[in-house]
Amino acid sequence: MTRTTNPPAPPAPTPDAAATPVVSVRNLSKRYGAVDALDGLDLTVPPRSVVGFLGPNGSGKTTAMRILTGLARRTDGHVALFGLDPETDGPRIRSRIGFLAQEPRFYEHLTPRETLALCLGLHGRPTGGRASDRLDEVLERVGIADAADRPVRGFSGGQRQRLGIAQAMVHEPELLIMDEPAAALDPAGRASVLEILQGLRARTTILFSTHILDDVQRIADRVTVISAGRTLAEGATDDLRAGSDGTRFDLRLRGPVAEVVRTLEQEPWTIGIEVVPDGDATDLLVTVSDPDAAEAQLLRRTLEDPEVRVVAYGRHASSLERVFLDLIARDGDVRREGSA
Amino acid sequence: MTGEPRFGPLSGFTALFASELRPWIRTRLGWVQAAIWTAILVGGMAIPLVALRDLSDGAPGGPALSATELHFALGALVPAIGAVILAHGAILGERQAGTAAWILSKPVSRASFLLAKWAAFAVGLLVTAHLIPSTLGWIVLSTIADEPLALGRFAAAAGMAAAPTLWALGLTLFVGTLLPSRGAVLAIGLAVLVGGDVAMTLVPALAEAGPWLLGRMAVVVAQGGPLVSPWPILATLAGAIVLPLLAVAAFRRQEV
Repeated sequence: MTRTTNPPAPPAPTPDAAATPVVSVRNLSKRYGAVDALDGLDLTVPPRSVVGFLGPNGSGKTTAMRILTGLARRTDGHVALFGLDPETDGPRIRSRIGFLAQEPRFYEHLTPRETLALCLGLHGRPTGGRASDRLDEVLERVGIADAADRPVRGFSGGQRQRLGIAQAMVHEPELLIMDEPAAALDPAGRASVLEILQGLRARTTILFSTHILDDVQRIADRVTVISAGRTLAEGATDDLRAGSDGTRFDLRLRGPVAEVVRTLEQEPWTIGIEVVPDGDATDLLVTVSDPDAAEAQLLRRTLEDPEVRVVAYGRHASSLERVFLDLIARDGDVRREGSA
Repeated sequence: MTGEPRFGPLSGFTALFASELRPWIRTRLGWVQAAIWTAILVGGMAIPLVALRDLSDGAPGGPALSATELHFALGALVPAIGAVILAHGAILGERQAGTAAWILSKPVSRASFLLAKWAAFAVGLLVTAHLIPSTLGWIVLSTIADEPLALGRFAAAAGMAAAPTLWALGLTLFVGTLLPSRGAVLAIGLAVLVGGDVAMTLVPALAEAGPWLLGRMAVVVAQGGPLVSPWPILATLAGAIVLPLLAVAAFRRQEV
């Protein structure tokens, strides 16, 4: 029997963090007068990854995304998308990306079909013939096919958000940058947006910001957490959830555990073991320095003791919300100490 | 999909220009504008034609001459004012509505964004405020004068009267790119156009440097007179080209 605190892993291609990143941001700063909107931001988006971009309100997520798309200019730092600089290669970069703004705006007199046709035209794509099938497909996929020929004026927030997603993906971009893609949607709409993103991940790299940590936990394989314009943490979602102070494995055993504890304590990858008796079972919380080695050996070493039965075993992961709140709180403490 | 699109200083211009021109062709805007300008520039000719009919007593010129003067005097100024009114919110409105950011998140250059607007307004106004009223005006005046007016001269005069419209569009886009207030853009555009006449009396050299003299020059040319000076035409056309380019240069440095 296996116990695990990880949710089922989404079926996705494994992002190659070592490959040339689609987005590479180093030490990015953006100043508005005396206000530092970004202050040394780092961000890496590997190819074919889904990266959740997390941060409290006003932390600089939207500013960073506007710089990535060339709508705003950086004060300092390095920014590259596909190895190109958005300030000098804007149209070339934007031909390969789809962008959804936090509050998407459109020409009110156009219908969704006309809006998407305009987008295709702006991408230098044909808008007639087979493109019409593509428009129908996208409108259907985002759930506004029934309103495809009504002017956008009069659309609800949710419909606008769906159209925003449609216009970002209609040209089949290599990279989707989405600022709060599910913010204006009801739970059903939110679920369908996540489903759309899941469907796109096989061939599209996705960078999305959100306040809904559960969404990130469900679909993002990497996370970047920022606060006050700085990167607090960046890495694989599972690694981040496992915690930066060492990964923890949880064992639930029946029988005398003293020998197992002694054996495990001698392993070079063991940092510490917490023993928690619980009725007729005992929980061992094993913190390790090398998760791969522990994953390969921990269970095997435990089972070497014939008097012990393993009832449950799993790698511990904090909820992303816990990790996020801890990071923000720690950053707040650091800032307070710095200003004291 | 097709092959790799090209990306240059005018990326996205064609699609944006078509989009900007669309309301002039596919909605009532074009017809309404054509009706307004025809009413002003052709209908306005009725005033001298009716009022002076009895006074002219068959003398050559007479009402037709006055109607020609009125047609070109109005044609060089009023459509230019209309251009300022129509275009003054073009940039600022899109920035405030957020649609500028949306369009510029596509593979569209800043130059294309501005120049497509300028070009669509230019085509729309040249057709509805100049081509249609001038054609009808020529027909009416030829009928009144009992013989066709010299078409080449009339067309040249109509062209001279149209140049201030292009200049005013360029000025409006330029000021609209720099200032954050629609009212200020409108006020500056109108003040420059209307105040130019007054300013010319104080600084005569201004007459050679802008569009303010073109209405009067167009009347002379239409009536068979000489081209007094090429400089107002050249300066106005140069402004019609340079002002949008200055707007592009300013817009490139801005955030949306």
